[in-house]
Amino acid sequence: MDEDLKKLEAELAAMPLAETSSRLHEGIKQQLDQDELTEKPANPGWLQWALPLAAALIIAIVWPRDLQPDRLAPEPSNESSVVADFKPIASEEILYAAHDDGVVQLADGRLARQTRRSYLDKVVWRNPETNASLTWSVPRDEVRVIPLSFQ
Amino acid sequence: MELISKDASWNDWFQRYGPKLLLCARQWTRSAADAEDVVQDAFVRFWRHQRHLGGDPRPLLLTSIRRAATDLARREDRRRRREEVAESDGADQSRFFHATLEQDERTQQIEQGLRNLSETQREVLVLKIWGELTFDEIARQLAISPNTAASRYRYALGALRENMNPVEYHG
Repeated sequence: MDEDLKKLEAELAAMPLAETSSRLHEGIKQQLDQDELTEKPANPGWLQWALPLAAALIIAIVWPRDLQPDRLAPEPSNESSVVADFKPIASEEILYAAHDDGVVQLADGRLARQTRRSYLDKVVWRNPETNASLTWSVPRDEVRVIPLSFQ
Repeated sequence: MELISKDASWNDWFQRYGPKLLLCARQWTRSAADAEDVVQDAFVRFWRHQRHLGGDPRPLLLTSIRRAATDLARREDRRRRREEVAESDGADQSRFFHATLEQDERTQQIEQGLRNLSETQREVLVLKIWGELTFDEIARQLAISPNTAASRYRYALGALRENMNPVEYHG
């Protein structure tokens, strides 16, 4: 390759390219932010310890005593019948946040509108004999993607 | 182009290499808007699933961009829409390069010269200079031999030189 072509090659490589648009940055940001939300649901901090605690409590109450090793059940008890007496008495879903994410682009390139609703699902059990109750709460995010069609 | 570290921010990386990817995408799409769409598709896919693979991301990204551009062109409805836009607005003349006022004349000259090249020559030139691919990598991208890629590149540079300064180089 002659010197002129080498110079031209170097000049081309040094050309300042047109910047990418803010629309493109926003589009990428929106899609990648969505991933983060999917990977790490936005749980309130207290759930990090409350959920395992609730799970442990449920296991402790519901765990059939006859399946546990003998050494963990030193004396017979009627706790399993107590557990059986816990009845679900209420369940509800509380909508505590709703957000319109606007128009997003799907993996296949189609446009869609995305909305996000955050719920707290609650279930309450009660033992009518002892009046003891157990409440189970778990957050849930519902993401709806509605494909758009332009007529 | 540097490798991507595990904790790299997509934004920093994209600020630096996005314009090059976009210019390459322009060679396979009908408009700047289409080019942005395919870069977004390909980059998001890459960042989600492939950035941890290691190695040089350029060939992977450019393959992905080219594939996305091909898919886009196949979608009849979008193509029709873009054609309607193109018909109403005239040909897509959005700039390849950014230039200050004093550079503008030369930049326009180069840009016009590039646009006057045949598609096959311009494609190889852009992949080599701004895509920073080797002739082997270009050959794989375009399903041609490395020798063909190299000769197209030399012809493209020669044609560009003539397109830009016919008097200077012929006189």
